[in-house]
Amino acid sequence: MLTVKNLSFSYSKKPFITCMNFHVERGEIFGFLGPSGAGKTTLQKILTGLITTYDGSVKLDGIECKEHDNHFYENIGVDFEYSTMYEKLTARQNLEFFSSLYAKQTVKIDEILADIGLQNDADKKVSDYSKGMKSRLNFLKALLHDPNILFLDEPTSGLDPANSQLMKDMILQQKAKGKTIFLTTHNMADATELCDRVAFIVNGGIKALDSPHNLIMRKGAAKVLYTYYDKHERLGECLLSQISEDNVLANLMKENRILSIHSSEPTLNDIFIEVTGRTLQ
Amino acid sequence: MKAVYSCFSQMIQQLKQDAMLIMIVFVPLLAGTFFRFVIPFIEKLITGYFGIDAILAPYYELVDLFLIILTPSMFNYVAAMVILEEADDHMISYLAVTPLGKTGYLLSRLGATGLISFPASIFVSALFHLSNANVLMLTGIALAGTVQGVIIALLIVTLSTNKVEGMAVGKITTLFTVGVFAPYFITGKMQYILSILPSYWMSRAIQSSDYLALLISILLAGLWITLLSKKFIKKIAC
Repeated sequence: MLTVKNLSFSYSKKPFITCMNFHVERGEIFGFLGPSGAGKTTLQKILTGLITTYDGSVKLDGIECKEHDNHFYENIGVDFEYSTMYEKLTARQNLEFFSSLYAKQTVKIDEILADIGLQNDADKKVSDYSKGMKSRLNFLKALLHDPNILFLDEPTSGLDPANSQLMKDMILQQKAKGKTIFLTTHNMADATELCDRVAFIVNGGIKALDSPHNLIMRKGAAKVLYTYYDKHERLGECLLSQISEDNVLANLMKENRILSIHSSEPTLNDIFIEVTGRTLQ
Repeated sequence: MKAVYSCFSQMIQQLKQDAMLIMIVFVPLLAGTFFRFVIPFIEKLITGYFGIDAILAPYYELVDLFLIILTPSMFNYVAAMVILEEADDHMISYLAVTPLGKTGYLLSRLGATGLISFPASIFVSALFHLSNANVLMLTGIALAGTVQGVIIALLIVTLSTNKVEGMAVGKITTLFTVGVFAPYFITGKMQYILSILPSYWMSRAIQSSDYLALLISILLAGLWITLLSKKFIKKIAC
């Protein structure tokens, strides 16, 4: 679906994206993770054909992104982090307008609004919508023309847990329909939950690329942390895979002296910091 | 073209909700009324007072020229404000990733505005013209003025990042029409300093019924539009 070969790009004389290579399969959810200014947005602009002055090759669904015509967008849906709706218009008016930009048959607005629970607010001005409603509507806008490829930029940013879960469910529904989804996010938990594979992007380059599970397993193993009393409270730890070899723990269990015990798996965030030496901001 | 038409219709819907911008569209009618009735009245007063045949009358072509330029300038100023509002709301970035595309967006905002402002400019000129310039020349000037109006809109949207800046830049872009004075008030080769401005050639055209100057004005304006459009499209991408 997407093949990136030797991609380089610069806004000035200083290189910004340097020699990037990766491939994304049809039907995958592929995550771009990285701190602000790492090059995620620039990469998304290249993939969506907004920036065409790059070197190398970026082929999306067989089309070189810098040579696309406007038909290219008939199969691409983009959901920006911020709302891109006409605030003075109602949700229905907005969706009718955006539908009219596509040559292909678009989905029925009432049906799609009902799918995300906004059917009773269809004739309300977007300016009167809550942030969660705007996010859902924005996402819906990207689906109007039933695209095969979706670009989602921070889709759960600023949402409460309920709306965030709703959004993630909607994304997984699209994956179930066989769509290829590119997800740009700061949220490692979302990436772990949603993405088939993720790329860590730092300073315009890919520092690691694999499934969240493989990245976690490759870089670290689960640990067991326990506390016990011996004159004062002490902390012990061992690898989960070597728990039977920890004699201190075995004795403590035998003597019922354990105060607390926790297993701790590394998170994608831990792996990101380990690989890149940076935290997400 | 379906997407361009849809987007243009959308702009009209937006304008219906903005009384201030609609008022601006009527400025040429107010200015035309003033030019057509007040200037000849003043001419009559001052020629009578000084006992001279004509004082302002030799510049009636210049007044006509201003009026013709004013109509597309106002229409395009309104379009520029809509563009800046949409830039503020990130709408342009979104529309650029739909089948409308970046060029389609510009066409829907400035191309379509040009198509309306051209006949509007002829209409205003036909109603309020003062000089005896022939209809063909006035129509040609209206065309050149329309193209220049697009330049003004592009200057505003390229040089500013929001509506407030756009209003300030809008005032500065009036300097783009300063070329109309050169053939009338600057003698010798010094006047060519302003020859990079299409308005200079428009003024030359109406002053001497020079159709070649009119053609140069339109071609020069086309060059300005090409350069500024590229700059604006680059701005959308970044």
